[in-house]
Amino acid sequence: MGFRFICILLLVTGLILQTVHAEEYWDDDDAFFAEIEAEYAAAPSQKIADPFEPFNRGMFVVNDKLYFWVLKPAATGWQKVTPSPVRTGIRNFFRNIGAPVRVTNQLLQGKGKAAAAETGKFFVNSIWGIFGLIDASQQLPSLQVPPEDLGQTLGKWGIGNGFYLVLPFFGPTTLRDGVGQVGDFFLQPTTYYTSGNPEGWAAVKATETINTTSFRLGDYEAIKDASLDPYTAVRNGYIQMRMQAIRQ
Amino acid sequence: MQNLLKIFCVFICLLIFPLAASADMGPLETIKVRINDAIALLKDPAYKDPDPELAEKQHQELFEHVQGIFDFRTVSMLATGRNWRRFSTEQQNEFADLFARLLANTYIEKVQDNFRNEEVVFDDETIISESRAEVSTRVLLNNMEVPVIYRLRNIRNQWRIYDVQIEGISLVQNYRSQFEEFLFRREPAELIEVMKQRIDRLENDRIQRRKEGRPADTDADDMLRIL
Repeated sequence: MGFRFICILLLVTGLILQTVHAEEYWDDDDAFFAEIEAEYAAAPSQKIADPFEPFNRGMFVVNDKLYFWVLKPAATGWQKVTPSPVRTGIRNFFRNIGAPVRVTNQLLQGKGKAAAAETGKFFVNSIWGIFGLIDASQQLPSLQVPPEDLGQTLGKWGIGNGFYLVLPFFGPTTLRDGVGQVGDFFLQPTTYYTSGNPEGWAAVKATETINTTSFRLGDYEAIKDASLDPYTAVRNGYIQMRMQAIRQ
Repeated sequence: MQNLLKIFCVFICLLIFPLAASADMGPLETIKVRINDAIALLKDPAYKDPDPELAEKQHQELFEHVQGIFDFRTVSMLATGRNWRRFSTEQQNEFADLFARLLANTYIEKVQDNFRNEEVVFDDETIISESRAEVSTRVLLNNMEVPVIYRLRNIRNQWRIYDVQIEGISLVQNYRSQFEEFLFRREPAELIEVMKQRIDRLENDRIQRRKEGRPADTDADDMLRIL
């Protein structure tokens, strides 16, 4: 008799538990939300000053048109006529000669080890990698360190973004990163190679940009398709990306 | 008789207490199994044929799979933040569903067209609390490593993704900034309408593209190591 009673009791509790179990998901929503909402709401990327938004939105449209009318056709053509290894070689070359920017900023951030690794990488790639066309240092994981630039250095020193800015051609930046880009410009070997010759500099920059874009065709389109407001999506993405770069 | 009753009782209990009967997988294990299943689907020779209907079928299958991995209700909840309470229960469900479809329509095709045996490395898992965990992975492609961190929530003893951070950029944060701006001036119903229009456009575009046999955008095979 007792056994049957226990059986029924078990069955009843089980059923009650099961209904609780089914609703748990909804009940626990509030608890979960409370636990994590604060973290998401307080994320610094949600609070970027954008006093020049109308101007920036205008520039965003200009860059968007530039991409679809100029850069994308150029990069697509470039991709079609140039075999992948050649494009990879060009990409590696430009990355390699950017070493002075990275080393200087690693030193400015007190990252001596990273600066040494970056310098080593530069020599390995320049000598064994035929002037940097081949990323020979890939075989040496100890030399792979996160890249640094002046914008990140200033960020590391506690200087905030200031405000968001969209420049024609150069795209999204902030006051701080813009200052950084100007500083880094003077550390780029290409600046001196083409010194006193703006057209030459522009041609080098265009080559680099078209080549880089040939690897990333479709990325911008996907971001645009997936977002409700591409301007806000890109702005938030840029700020998040830079925060991550400063953390590293 | 007594024994039969006992067995019957145990059986009933097993049916009723699903917790006792299900073996729990940890967050990393869960993701690993799911992602490897998705990769198997992408590599499935049955879909090798560049036939638009097959591609569509694979798309749908991947979408169903993704819905099992992600928890779009939580994704929507965090992406809308304080505004989530302004949605009625029906609107919440509808919004979660639309959000899933928006992401699927944008990214699944890209993955379908660009997948070339990329590898995923599963590094480690961090259990933050009873209901939260993080799993760090790396995707190896084009001689590059892309760090991807999944944030998971435990729902009814199953770990499901509610946020993805690719190279430090959180998907939920990114949408949050957009929804915040939209809902500041307008109503949830309008947001749902805008989402619907966008999804319709994307779906029509995709079916059109598939018919004409144009890929979305692909890069030539860049997996050649030049060394």
